[in-house]
Amino acid sequence: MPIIYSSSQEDLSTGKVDNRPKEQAPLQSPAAKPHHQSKHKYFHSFCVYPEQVSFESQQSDEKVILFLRAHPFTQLPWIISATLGFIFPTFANLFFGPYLSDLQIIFLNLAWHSALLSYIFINLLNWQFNIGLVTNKRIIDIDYHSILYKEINATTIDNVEDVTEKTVGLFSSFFGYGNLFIQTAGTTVNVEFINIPQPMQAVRIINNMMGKKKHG
Amino acid sequence: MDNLMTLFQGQQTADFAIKLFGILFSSFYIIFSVIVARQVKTLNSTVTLTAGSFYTVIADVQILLSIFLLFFSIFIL
Repeated sequence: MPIIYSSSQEDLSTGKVDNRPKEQAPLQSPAAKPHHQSKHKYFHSFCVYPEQVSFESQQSDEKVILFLRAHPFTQLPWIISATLGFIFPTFANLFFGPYLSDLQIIFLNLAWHSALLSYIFINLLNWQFNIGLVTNKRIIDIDYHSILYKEINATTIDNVEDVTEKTVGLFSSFFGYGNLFIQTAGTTVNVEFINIPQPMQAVRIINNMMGKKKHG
Repeated sequence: MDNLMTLFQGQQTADFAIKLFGILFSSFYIIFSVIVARQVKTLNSTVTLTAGSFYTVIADVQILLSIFLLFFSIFIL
C-alpha cells in the first residue's frame, strides 16, 4: 500500500529522517532564537519581515520590518496603455503597409516595440523602486520618479510624532489601499507612503514600534 | 540642383525621411538606454531587491537593442 502520509520529519538539506516522537523533539523557545515569519502580499507590495531586502545605509543591527510599495492596482493605467501599444502596430501595418517596403515595416515595428519596452521598463522601475521601509530603527522613504529623479528621506522612530492613514476614493476603498503620512518632529522631512496596501496594518506596526521605543 | 530636387520627390523622400528618423531615433535611444542602465545600477546599490539582477539584464538588453537599431537604420534600411 503506498504511503500517503508519514509523520516522520525529513530534513530536506541532509535527507535524515527524524522519527522521534514529537514530545521528544527539541523545542526552541521564541526568546532563545527570535524568528519572524516573512509575509508577502499583493505581488510583494506589502512585506512583513522581508528576507532578501537590504539597503545602502543599513546598519549591522538594523532589520527591515516592513517593506512597502504602491498597490499593484494603481499600476493598471500604464499596463492598459502598454497592452494597447502592443495591438497598435497590427492596425498601423494594415494601414501604412502598402506604402512602405518590407525592411521599413520591420524597422518601424522594431523601433515601436523597443520604445514600448522602454515605457514598460521605466514604469516598472518607478513602481519597484518607489518604496517605503520600516526598520527597527528608522523609517525610510525612497522616491524614484522618471529616470533622473531620486529622493531618499529617512527619520528615526524616536522622531515620529504622528502617523496618519488616508483612504480616499472608490477603488482605494474597494482594493484596500491608501496613503500613509508620517509626521516628524522639528525640521525633519515628513515621510509619505502613497497608495500602499493595507495602510491600517502599516500604522499598527509603526505604532507598536513607537510604543516599544517609548517603553524601552 | 535638378538631381537634388529629384532626390526629394515621391518615394525617395519617404525613404530618406524614414532613414533619417531611424538614425535619430536609434541615436537618442542609445543615450536613453545607457542612462537607464546607469540608473538601474545606482538603484540596485541603493536598495537590494530580489529582482535586482533581472532589471540589470533588461537594461543591458535595451542597450543591445538600441545598438542593433542604429546598425539597422544606417546599413540595412
